[in-house]
Amino acid sequence: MLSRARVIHWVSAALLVALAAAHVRIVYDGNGQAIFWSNPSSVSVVIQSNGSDNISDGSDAVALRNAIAAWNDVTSTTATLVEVQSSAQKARTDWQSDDIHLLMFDENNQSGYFGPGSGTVAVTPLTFYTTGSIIDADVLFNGGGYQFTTKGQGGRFDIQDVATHELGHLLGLDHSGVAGATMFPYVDPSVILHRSVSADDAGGLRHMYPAGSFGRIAGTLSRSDGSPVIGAHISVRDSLGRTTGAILTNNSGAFTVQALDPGTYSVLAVPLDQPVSAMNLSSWYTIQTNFGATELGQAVVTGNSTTSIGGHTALANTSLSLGRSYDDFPQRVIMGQTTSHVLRGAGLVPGSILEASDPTVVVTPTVWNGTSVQFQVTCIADVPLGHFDLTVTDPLGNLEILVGGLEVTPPNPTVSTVSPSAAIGTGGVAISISGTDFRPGCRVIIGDQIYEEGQPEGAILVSPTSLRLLLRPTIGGIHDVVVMDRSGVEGRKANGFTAQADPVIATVFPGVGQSNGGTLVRISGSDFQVGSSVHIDGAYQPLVTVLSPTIIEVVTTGGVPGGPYILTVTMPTGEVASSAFQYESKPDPVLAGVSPANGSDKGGNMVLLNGMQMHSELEVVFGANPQTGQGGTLAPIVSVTENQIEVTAPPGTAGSAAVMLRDSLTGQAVMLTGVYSYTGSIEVHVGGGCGSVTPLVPPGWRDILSQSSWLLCLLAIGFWRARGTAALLVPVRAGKSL
Amino acid sequence: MRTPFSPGVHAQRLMRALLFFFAVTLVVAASWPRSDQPSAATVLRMDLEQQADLSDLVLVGTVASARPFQAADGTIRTEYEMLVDRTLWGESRARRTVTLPGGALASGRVTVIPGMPKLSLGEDCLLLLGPETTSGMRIPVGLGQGRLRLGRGFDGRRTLEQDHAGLSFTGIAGLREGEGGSVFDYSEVISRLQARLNVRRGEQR
Repeated sequence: MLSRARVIHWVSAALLVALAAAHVRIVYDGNGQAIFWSNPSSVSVVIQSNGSDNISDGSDAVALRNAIAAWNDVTSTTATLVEVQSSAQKARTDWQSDDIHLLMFDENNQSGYFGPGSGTVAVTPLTFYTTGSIIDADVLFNGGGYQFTTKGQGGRFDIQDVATHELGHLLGLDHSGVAGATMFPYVDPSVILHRSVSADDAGGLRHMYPAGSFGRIAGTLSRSDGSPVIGAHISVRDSLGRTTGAILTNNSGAFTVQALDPGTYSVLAVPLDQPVSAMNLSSWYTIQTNFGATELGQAVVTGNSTTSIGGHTALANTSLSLGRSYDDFPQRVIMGQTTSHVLRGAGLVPGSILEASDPTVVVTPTVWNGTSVQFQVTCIADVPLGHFDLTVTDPLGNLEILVGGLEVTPPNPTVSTVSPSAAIGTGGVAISISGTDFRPGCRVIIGDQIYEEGQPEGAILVSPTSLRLLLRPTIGGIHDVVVMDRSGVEGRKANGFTAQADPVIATVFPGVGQSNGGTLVRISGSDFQVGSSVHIDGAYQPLVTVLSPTIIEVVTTGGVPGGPYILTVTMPTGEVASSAFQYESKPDPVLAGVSPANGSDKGGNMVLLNGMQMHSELEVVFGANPQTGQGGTLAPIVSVTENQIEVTAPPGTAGSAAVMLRDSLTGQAVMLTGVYSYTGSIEVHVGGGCGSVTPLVPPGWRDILSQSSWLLCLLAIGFWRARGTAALLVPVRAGKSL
Repeated sequence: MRTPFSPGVHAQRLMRALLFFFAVTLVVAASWPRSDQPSAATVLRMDLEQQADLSDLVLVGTVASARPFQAADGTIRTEYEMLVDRTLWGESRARRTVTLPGGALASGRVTVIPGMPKLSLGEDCLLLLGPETTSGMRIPVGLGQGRLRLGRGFDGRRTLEQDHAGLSFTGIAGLREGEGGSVFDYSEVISRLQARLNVRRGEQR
């Protein structure tokens, strides 16, 4: 039997193991084991190709890639998220499979997690062994229940912000007690600063998957009676006052803050009661909050060593608090600007002092309201970026510290011009972007492409007002041009760039025209641009009209009879599409009009076509495609003169139809669109069949009966049964039943 | 704040016994599979009325059994049998089976749906559940917010405690901010839910 001392020793050891390394890590509550990727250097993730049905320009995938990049940008860690590019993998939706880690918008509740009322925006299901080794993890967005955005649209969730947080979980991070961290548990659609990874988040990743060596700060925290403070939130800030890392004390009140670079740090202990509290963490953790915020002194970290600050006694608990879960965090302050803020709490009374952990940041309280404080923050222009703490001291000297609740960011970049504003989407075109507040490490986003400053094939920062990049193959369409700072703030020029696809010619109608010119030719295809030019056999055609991205009309100038010649359509941006065209010495037929202009859709009526240069080789086609000349029905020709052709109208469908004259020998053609109308015949449906039209007059009783064969059947059955009954009655009356 | 006291000899023995009991309890707790799970879901913060509006089944009951199993689609789920004390919304039955995603198989394979509550054997709780999916699962409304554990406060009153582990909360225009705390008075919660559900019944008529 185990002695009591042994039992207590065993318990202490078990809990030490559980807590010492688990300040922001997800632990399996079944055994306290922190979960982890056994191959962190290549955690494959697949962006499911369907994306979000709220986004059509490919920017949803870009937002997810930016979220991946935010974690991959963390240095001194082996953890790397590797995006799988295989089309076959991206098409998969079987997130349950262990061999694929999908980032997927579940638009129709395929997962079953997003039914009515789930209230769930996104989840990261995790499957692992009880050893903690992760088998599978996926990020699922509730695309059916909520709207997502990449453009800051109100009431929609920012994909990158949510994805960065969920990817932190996918990597094994739990929520953070640092109010400004990406892993802070409260998210609001209006907050985008979780797009970037805070120092605490980065420290958590380094702690889990270290590459290289780091310094550590160790110590213990106890109460005045000597009892350890368990689950105290220990935070360190660097010499600039920036929040650098945090951890929880273990069951002995001991802590070791991990993954620190060399430098001088201030260490403090705060109760994890608001805005993050024990209820936000796994219930494995024991969180004690019955002590006051305490500054534990400074520590110098020199390298791969542990600096001990020894044992410290926590101050007594107070009712003073600053920051609530329903305040938006991080509160943004801007370099060189003064910003206004409100934070809620308790004991925030006049006479209190509010200070930033960065002494260069000026905090000016304006209203102390007991449960809230309004204040302004003024930063110098070159204030270092990052999160800093706010400290409030009440008139009695009580202290409270909001850890990492404010984040210094640069001003929003602005994008004023993009030159050129349109280019062929196949890439290779140099793009210049001008604006303001462009900074190193920023990302330029155009369509489905990200250009990270300073990276190969990325953007080049010419100056804070100028960026250059070489366009990569880009999804076609009109795109916003976004310059996103590393902090997540962005500038955007809406519809700033058009990525053009290669033009394609599908048909040229007619493909043959008279050699002296004047033939109206319709070129059908795709991705034609306004300003396109047309050449036939190298000859410039001045009379060109771009009707739409799919139709160009040309009136030919004429050429030498023969061919086929090369017909080219040249975009203003230089792309060329080509087809063929022929010249004939024979004049084109001319069609001036048809009479009558309408007839029955059954056809059969006589129609006169008036024009010029008519002859017996001409065919008459009703209902051909006005753009391509294809399709339609040949009309039997009754008679032909030079100025008139008489035909029998073929059957057609109700509505207007084009009438075309086509030379059966040369292919020359002329068409009048909408010049003839078929009128629908009026039918009364009798019996079965389909394709009837609704009668224009109310049906009579015979019609109703004839359309209601079931009613007739019922009547017949009734009549037959009545006859049977009558037959039974008749013998009684006749005495034959006996 | 605690009340100071001067323990006598018997009290000291009692304290030692209690300490030993707590130590053993800790050993068991440290080595026994726990009922909660890792975190990581982003959900809307809801108040009770919003949850009531979105629920398909609201009941108070006791967890009689839990059976983790692997479903046909490969996911792990847990089937809980509930002894129902009262049904506030939905068909009233003395026993009900509720299947939630996630669970731990005997093979050592664990699936957690972060933020999804995992019920403990013998646990008394109030469940606000969404409609049953085609595959037979029900999702608690607001995930962890949809399960409130019954307990007793220091004053002996019945309480309901909400577990937010694993949840990232978000607000969105049109929805009110969530409750201020995670422990509620049982009677107050039931009254609020009944009031709201009565409004729902009236709207359905």
